[in-house]
Amino acid sequence: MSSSRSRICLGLSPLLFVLLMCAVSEAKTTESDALRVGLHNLIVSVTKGEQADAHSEWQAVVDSAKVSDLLVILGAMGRPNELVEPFEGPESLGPLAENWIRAAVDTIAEREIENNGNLPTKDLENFVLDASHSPRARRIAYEWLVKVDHSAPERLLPQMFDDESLELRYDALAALLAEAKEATDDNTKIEKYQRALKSARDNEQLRECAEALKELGETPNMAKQVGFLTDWKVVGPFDNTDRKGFNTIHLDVTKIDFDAEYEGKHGSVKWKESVAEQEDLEKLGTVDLNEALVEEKSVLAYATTTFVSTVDQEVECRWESKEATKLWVNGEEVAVKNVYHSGGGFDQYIVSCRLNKGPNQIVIKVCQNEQTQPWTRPWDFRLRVTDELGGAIQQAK
Amino acid sequence: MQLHIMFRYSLLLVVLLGMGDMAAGDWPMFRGPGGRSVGGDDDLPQEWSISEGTNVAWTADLPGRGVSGPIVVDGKVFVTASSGPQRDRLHVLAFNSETGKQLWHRQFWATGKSMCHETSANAAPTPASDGERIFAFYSSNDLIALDLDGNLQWIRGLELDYPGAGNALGMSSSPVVVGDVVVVQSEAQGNSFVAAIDRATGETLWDLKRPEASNWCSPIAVDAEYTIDKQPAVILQSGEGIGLHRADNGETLLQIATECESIPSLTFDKYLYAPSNGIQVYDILSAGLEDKDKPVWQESKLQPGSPSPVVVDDQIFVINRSGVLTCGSTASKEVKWKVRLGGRFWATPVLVGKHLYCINADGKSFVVSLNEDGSKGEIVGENEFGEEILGSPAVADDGLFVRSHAHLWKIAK
Repeated sequence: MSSSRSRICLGLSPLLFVLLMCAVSEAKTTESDALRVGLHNLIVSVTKGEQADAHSEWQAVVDSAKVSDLLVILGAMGRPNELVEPFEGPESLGPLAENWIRAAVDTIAEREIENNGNLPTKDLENFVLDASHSPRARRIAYEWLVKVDHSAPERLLPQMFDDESLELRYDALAALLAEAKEATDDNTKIEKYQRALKSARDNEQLRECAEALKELGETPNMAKQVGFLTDWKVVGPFDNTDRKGFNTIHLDVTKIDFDAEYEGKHGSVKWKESVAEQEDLEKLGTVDLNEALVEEKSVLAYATTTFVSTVDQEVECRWESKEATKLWVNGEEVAVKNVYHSGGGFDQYIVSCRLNKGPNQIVIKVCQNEQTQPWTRPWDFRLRVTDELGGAIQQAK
Repeated sequence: MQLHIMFRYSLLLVVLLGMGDMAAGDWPMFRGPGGRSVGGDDDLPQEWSISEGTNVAWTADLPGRGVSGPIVVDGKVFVTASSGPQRDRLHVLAFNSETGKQLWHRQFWATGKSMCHETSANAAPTPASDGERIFAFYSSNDLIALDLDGNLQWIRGLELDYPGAGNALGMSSSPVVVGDVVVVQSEAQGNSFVAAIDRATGETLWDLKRPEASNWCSPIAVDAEYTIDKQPAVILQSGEGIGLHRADNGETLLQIATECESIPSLTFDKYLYAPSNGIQVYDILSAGLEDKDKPVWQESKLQPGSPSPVVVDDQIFVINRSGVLTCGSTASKEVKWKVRLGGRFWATPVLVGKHLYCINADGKSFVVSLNEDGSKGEIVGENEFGEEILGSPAVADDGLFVRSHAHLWKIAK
């Protein structure tokens, strides 16, 4: 309380003072309640796809919110059900609702900086460091904190190597990699690169670690580190003329019989072993079907491997292929990607699936089409099993 | 060439859209008013120097990559960008056109595929405006509407509605405002669509299933004033042909079956100029019903690379994959002249007065002077931006607005 305000209070009777304080408190409570109700209504409107209502609620929140409300708004991203009771929205926000809230925070914070030149740095920092909040909300708080406190990255990032916000983790590891690069002795370099490798989820950062460690005489098992499955059996080629093979059933994926023979494009075909690339970082984890089977157009193949899970668990299968693919886990079709030669990249496709404790059969069908341009030559895939943040899930020994 | 025509209306008269809510001199969309890449009476310099600041009114920093071009509305320049290791951070920024001061910056997370070819960016489509709102569209099929002060109006994550849309190369079709809707076109193997979204409410008014093949071309608006039923319409281009559709319900008014290119977009100015086996020119205004789908001129020597054709009066300008600028005349149905510029071009050039401003991917610009009778083009200015430039420039407020991945410049006297 300011000194002038204290003097005024001292001149009031105790009863009047208590009543006045109650009124101020009630007004604050009412404002806070209105904000919470507004956020709740915004989330409900977005969830229902009611754009016009969402805009009205959003504008009301933005127009009325003070800078001190930023943390309430950010907090709603991770704990929407704490806004009001009863809460009628979803337990967790979808990406659209997150974007609406992000836009509100950015608008309010931008206005505050324009008008007053600052933000509540301590509150923002505490919010960033509280891992119980939504990773995206913490990232927003971090970005606004950094705008007004340029020393924040140096202070906070060393605590974020394993952060659930992959954006915060990326920045933290980028700083660590920069330190590793600048280190003058090899032991320090190795230590920092190995630390970064342990937590990295971004493909470029993983490669940077692997290449640097290789130069330093280290030989990390990158395929295992990243989670690429390397021991496969493949069978083919089957006919994919006019791309008709994509939906043709050639074998029973619910019951793989490694002794069976199948009618391929040019005669009988049998399962054979194929090991994925483990040295070339560019092609890490890749099963090259041109090499394993035959380089030909309008063909398809099946590949399978067994993943031995330590427990029953939800995982993500992440794979890349520039050719059309279908994926089955334990006989259940979990993904259909009927796309040929339209680009690709690390973790091009991601699908959630359930693994049982013990052996799990993963089958992928990879279809090559008729195109003859040089960039359509590859007929390959690579696949890894990860948690939801992209960390490798290791198999039972 | 096999041609097929479907004509639901007895007569069609179309002229380029003159957007009702837009102020004269604004540059509200990809390729400017009407999508012709033709500026007004702006007095632009022919020489400038980025390093020395000569004829550079201002320079602003940008937070991420962008193949999109800037647009200019009501004294503000709007730019999109994308950033992050996953290319999933979407940016919309507004700058004061006169001073270059950043007015606001909004950020969002992509809800669809953010993967794209290393040349491109998630922020590949150029935004569009109806004079009240900015419609920012991205390769990830996120469509975001903001008012000119940066207040969020609505958001659509169209890949949530059209699962499997887009691809890992990246999309780049720019939205267009026509009638009461903003039309977006997203075509790739998988789930191709065109959707018309109510520009005020963000609701989908209609959509169309589209060919499942990669297509980066942008739709074109057609003004209601010039259609026979007084309804605004939109022209869509794909490898299967050209379609004219009512903006209010998507009904097909005209279909021309011809195999169009998938990167350069068609241009309309009295005639319809379609990138197809060079350039095919259709007279859909005055030709008889039986002849609207028959090209009045086909010229294989006018082969556009990535930039779209620029058309003014009866002249057409295209830049091919080798960086050669070629001028053709629809009146005489002949190629008039060629000038070798050099380099690979992504940005569509802009015509301002008698000067064509062409910027190649290496950031080298060429100012080509056109003589009065159209018989000759001559390079009169060469300038270096020193950075990769893939987005098409804008012309407004007596300036040329050019963006790289890192900077936005206003080139002005």
